[in-house]
Amino acid sequence: MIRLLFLTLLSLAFHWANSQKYTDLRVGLSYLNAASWNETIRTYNDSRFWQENDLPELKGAFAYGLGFSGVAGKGLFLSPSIQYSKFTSQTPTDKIDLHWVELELACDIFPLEFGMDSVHFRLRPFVRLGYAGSMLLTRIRLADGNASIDGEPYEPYNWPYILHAALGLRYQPTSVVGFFLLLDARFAPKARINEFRTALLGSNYLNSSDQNNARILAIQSGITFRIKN
Amino acid sequence: MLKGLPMYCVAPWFLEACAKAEPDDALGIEGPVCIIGAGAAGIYAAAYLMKQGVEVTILEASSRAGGRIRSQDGFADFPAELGAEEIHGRRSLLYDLALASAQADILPEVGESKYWLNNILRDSYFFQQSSALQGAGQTLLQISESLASYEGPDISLQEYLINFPIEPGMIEIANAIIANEYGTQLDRIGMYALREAEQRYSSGIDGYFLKNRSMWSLFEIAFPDAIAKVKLNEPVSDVVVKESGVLVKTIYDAEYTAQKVLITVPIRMLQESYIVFNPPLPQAKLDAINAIKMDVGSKFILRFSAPFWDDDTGSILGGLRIPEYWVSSAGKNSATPTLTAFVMGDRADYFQGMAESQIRAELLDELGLMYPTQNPSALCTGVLVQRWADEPFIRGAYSYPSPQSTGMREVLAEPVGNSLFFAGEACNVNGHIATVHGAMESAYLACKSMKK
Repeated sequence: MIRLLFLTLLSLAFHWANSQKYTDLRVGLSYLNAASWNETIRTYNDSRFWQENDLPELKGAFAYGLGFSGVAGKGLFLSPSIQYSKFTSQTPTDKIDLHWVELELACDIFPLEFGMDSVHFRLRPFVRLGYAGSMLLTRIRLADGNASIDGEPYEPYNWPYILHAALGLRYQPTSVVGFFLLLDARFAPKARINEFRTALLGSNYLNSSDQNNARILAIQSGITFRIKN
Repeated sequence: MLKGLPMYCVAPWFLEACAKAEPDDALGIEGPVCIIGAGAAGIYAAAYLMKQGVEVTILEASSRAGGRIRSQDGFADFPAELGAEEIHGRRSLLYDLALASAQADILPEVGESKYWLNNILRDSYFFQQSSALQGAGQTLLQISESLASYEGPDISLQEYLINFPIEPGMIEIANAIIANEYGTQLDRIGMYALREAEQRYSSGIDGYFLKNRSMWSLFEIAFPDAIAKVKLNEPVSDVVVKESGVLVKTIYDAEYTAQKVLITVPIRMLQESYIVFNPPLPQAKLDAINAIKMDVGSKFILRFSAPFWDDDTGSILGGLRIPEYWVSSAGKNSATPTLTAFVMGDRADYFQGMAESQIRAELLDELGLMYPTQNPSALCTGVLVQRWADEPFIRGAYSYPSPQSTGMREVLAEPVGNSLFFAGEACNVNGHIATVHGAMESAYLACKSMKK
């Protein structure tokens, strides 16, 4: 129900923001911390020590985003957006892909112009706070093909929510275009890859705790290009 | 990127995740490790420890390494597996070992099961044709699927089956596909222990074999250095734990000292106190050793000049003498048709001490009943007999979910102090009991526990 409500609000926000003034294109580098999933990967490497190549941990990815922004008040912007990133762990024979699609509703607060009628700065710091619903899709390909469990294709997905906070700097050389530098933290307290241990290790006991669940913290640094519609 | 962030902005577990993975030599074991038993668990553990830079000594009581993995060349045009033969599940250490060592030789289970029911050999198609048998087949399927969620008293599997309206012939099939596979017979399986095993099993239901190589060759390819270190014909008689380390004595009075000892011998060897521990093992450990049972078990491989079974035959289930035969030459492009007879429990005991010629006659007699229009006896050109209870340092097949053994495998696998560690299929706490990959998993966990 909460997910449905969020999606409804998000679609309304998209509609509203799209009818306003700005379109945002974003590209960034994302550093993922999902300790328990990486623990499973480490166990995989450690227990299959004869293999020539170790699976790397799930860590870095490019992130791509598209969003719309509208003025919600003096010094306040409301920005619905969609972002995609793919975290990969790969050897010549094995590959884990973690596709992460986020639908976010964020609020950009410009403290220096908060409540002011006019803006005189080209370079302005801001804070972004957001909430995202997201979908995690995991795909594992091993040497003999795509992973399966009991003959069924292994294609788990999960819908973690994300709390998002960022510090940014906006450079607005003209009234039409702007550039945003962002350092942000995305925190998903309840992410899960169903049967990740089983699919990768073939056992739920080679590592000690429930490693299918993870708290994800993604630190992302990126640049956003904003253009006035 | 994180250096500029104040510490309080970053959760401790995030920093932990950013830390480099532990180096390979992180076990922190200073002295040598002595491994007793050179089966799958022993060799895997030795290879793992050697990879970490740990000095190992492997003592094997018999004249060969491999334990319950054993094959014979020359009987057929492929290695005839006398012990472990099937890779249970696609996601397991053993399957991955096969992928790395011999991917081209992995052979998915082929053929269909045939059922010896009411003195007629039937195929699964017949079950669909007869409404009565269809119902019985469905019931059996439901029983099989319900084992992991069983809720009732801790009765035997045989007592549990009595609650269902299935005829004796179907009971024999249940014996073949459940009890015999687990290494015993229906009345010796405890429902709680069976539920525990079924719930935990996670490596997949698919079965695989190897085409043109033996199971042991996978280990020979992957772990040659470990196998080269095995000291054969060194039966251990005493394990003495001292403050300075552990002293391991053999029956020939050879002595080895080690910081830690990993015991991977079959459970029956522990039950029979073949190895004397000083100080004695804790009572809880002894209780676990005695609660986990291991039955007599045998494999007989029959070779024929030509197949007399249908081309689509994979296995024959429900025989009164042999609960399960399978076509061990199937899928191997072999010119030597072979049937492997797999028998556990009292029915295996029946063949103990029996002459090879009589075993051959008994098996061919049963096959003759199953195929009345054929003449298996005339086609048979040889038999291989492997009675695992006759092996002096093994004494049986493998452990099974015996009554009152629930939770006992954890106790069995638990180290004693920081000196004695236990591994092997009976120590597997993952539900992968009675499997090669289960033995490897238990060895991995035992090695990891040496660090603690």
